[in-house]
Amino acid sequence: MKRRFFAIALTAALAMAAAAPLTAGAELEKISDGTVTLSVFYPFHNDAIVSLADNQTVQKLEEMTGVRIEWLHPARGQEQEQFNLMMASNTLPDIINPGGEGNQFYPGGAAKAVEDGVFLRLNELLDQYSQYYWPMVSADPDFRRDAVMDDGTAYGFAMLEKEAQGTYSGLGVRQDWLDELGLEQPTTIDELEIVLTAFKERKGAETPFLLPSKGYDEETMMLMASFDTTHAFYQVDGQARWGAWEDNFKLYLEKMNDWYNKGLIPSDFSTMDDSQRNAAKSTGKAGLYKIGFWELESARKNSVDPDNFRVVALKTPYYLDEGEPSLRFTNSKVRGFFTSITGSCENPEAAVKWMDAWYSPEMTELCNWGFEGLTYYVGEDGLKHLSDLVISNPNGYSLTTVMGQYFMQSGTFVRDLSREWDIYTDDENAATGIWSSTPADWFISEALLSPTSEEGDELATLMSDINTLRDERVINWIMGVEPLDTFEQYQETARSMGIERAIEIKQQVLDRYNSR
Amino acid sequence: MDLNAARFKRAPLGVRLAKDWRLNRLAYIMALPVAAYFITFCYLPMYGVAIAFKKYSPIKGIMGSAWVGLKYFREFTGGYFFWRTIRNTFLLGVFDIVWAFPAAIAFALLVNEMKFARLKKTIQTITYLPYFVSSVVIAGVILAFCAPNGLAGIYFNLLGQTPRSFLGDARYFRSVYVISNIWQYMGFNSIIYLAALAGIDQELYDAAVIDGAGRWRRLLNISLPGIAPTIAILFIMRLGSTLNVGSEKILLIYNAGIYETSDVIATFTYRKGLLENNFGYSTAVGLLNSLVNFVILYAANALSRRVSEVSLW
Repeated sequence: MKRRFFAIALTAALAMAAAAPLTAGAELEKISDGTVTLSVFYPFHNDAIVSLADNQTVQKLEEMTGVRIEWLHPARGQEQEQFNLMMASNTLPDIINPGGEGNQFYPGGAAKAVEDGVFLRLNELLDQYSQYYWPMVSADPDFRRDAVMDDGTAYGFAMLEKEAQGTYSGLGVRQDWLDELGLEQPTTIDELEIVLTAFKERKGAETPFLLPSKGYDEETMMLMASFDTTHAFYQVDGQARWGAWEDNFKLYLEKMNDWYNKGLIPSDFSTMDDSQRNAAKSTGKAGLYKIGFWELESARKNSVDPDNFRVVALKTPYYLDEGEPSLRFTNSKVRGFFTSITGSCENPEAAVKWMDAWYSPEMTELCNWGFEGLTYYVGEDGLKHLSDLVISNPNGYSLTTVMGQYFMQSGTFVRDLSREWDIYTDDENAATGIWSSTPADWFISEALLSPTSEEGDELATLMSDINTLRDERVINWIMGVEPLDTFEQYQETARSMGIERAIEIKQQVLDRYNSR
Repeated sequence: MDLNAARFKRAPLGVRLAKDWRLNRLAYIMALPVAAYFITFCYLPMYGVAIAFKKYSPIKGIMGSAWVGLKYFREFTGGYFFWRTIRNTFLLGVFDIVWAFPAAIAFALLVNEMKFARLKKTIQTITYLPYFVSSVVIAGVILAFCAPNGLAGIYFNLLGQTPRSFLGDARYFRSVYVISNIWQYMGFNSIIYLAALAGIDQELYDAAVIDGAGRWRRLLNISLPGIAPTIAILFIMRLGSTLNVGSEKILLIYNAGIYETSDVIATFTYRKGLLENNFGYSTAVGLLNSLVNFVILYAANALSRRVSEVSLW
């Protein structure tokens, strides 16, 4: 009898010791006494663990709320297919997390999903049960605008950011070459051409500017924005426009064609793959290219001359001597992950409360930082810093992998990106600010618009042909296969294919968003 | 009397089947998996063509989705790029038949003439190989060959031009496609001809040798006529899939700059239908494609039956 008691006590002590670093902070209100189970569909891929059930923060949440979770992780690349299968077989889980910035699982969009009863309209449930998420969203104008649809319907819990992450990628330029050649960072297109020519002639960069394979960059719109235009929709004072058929777009094409003829752009830019591009960067064949802020340091490390190599962010140059571009991509404080509760959920109250718990101060702390002494420590400056376990993992796991093991890289919580400052170099931390220093007044954030399903259908029908036309012509104009005289005729073709109708629809959608 | 009646009147189907089952039980059992395959994967899904006429939503299912009639057919045939995609698909299919189809026959005849068994085996194995490699890898190889620092570079250097990619110029795409197809499928497609050649009576060759026929004569007068029915059947079947070009390969190697020659029905539908979840549209185009293929197949079969008395049915 005594021995048995001793054994139990020892086991308990060991268990507590093992759990000790993980029990920190206050406790959340229990949602259930362990009898409630919710199923959650969530695309999740991690090198160290197979399921979020093994994530320490998620385990802690389960312990605090008393809600058991059955995680459904679709195979990579089959998310849409498995969602369709669940719908077709009528076996939807209680909660669906898109696992990313998009929320387009449901054909026809989220509005249609609410209309069809696949996703629940959450407003009433949130009013009643949400302690954290809904009050936070209602109190902040940015959150309030972007976390709901045009008519104010909330259809999901979104990832919220303490500060919007600005423009995280853009043009990168070889600063070490500029220094060596005694050149300033170019601020105009003419200056940029002088720099590229110097790179080619004096630094042996065969093809100094790595133009993306489409002939433009969809994400950053770099250099198109320099000419006050872009390949797709943008807005000027609330007026929707389509850049690729405007006269300024021709200016962009003329410049690219000129650079192509001067050998400043690779002759095979349209067929170069990633490995060829990376090789051009690391061997110094190129000195100007698209880059993300998190890649600046690894570009240096991977280069053939890591001691001198230095690539830094370059503010988008402008085509005129005076002024600056008005267009760049940027992010809202609401960053997707719209996690919906489905019409098949039998206990919406528990589901809403469980989702809401993610936004509690306790979970905000856990999701962002994990556990003191394990994933972070408080430095002498009194601030929290991520530990070496996260930054230089002994098992060689990447940052994202370790985060997925102990806390959250992204997901439905209030993210505090300042936690990542330690990880990056000064150049990297400065980059977002440099790219974000141009105004973004003309930018339309497509992901936040909510077209009706009729609008979406008509736009898709019109734009898929028009985009094909554009993409084909852009490459041929830049490569000189087709003379730029045909631009006017192309404008006419775009008109006959219905671009004006597409702009009209985009205007309606945009008006609704801008008047939220 | 009874006996005579039974002889002249056909027995009911059930009786005949039962009798046939007793006689050929094994053959039926062996045919079962094949029949099951076709029923499961070719006939059962056929009701899915209804999607072509509906604004399909997976949650509502096929029956519940709204009927849109010929909307998607009109959208496709009235589209700006309709004629171009048809032309590209058709031309790639035809060029592939013109060049790649005879290549496999010629290759089989050549291999058949080889005397050293080991060399013959080695060559066959090497030529089969590309067939078993995934399209993604094949596409990688093609891209590397076509890059300015690959074969394309050598070619343009010889012409005294600046090296560029074969895949950066619409004029080269058809050649790249057909040549790579020959490389990929020639070895594998020759197997069936080799089997047919092996079935030709050796005595015919021996007799021809005695009559003083050389190798070329034997090839023309024995080998080729010997496999002619096989060629005819395969040719008809190949014609039936004229419009089924290797779209995975094209998707992996093309780019917007060469849409002029490389954008085929399947790639166009992929961009338009699947990337945008427009199931109705892609099904409508697929159905149209199958109809055209069927018409070609039917016409070719009819023609062949009349001309050569070889036909599929």
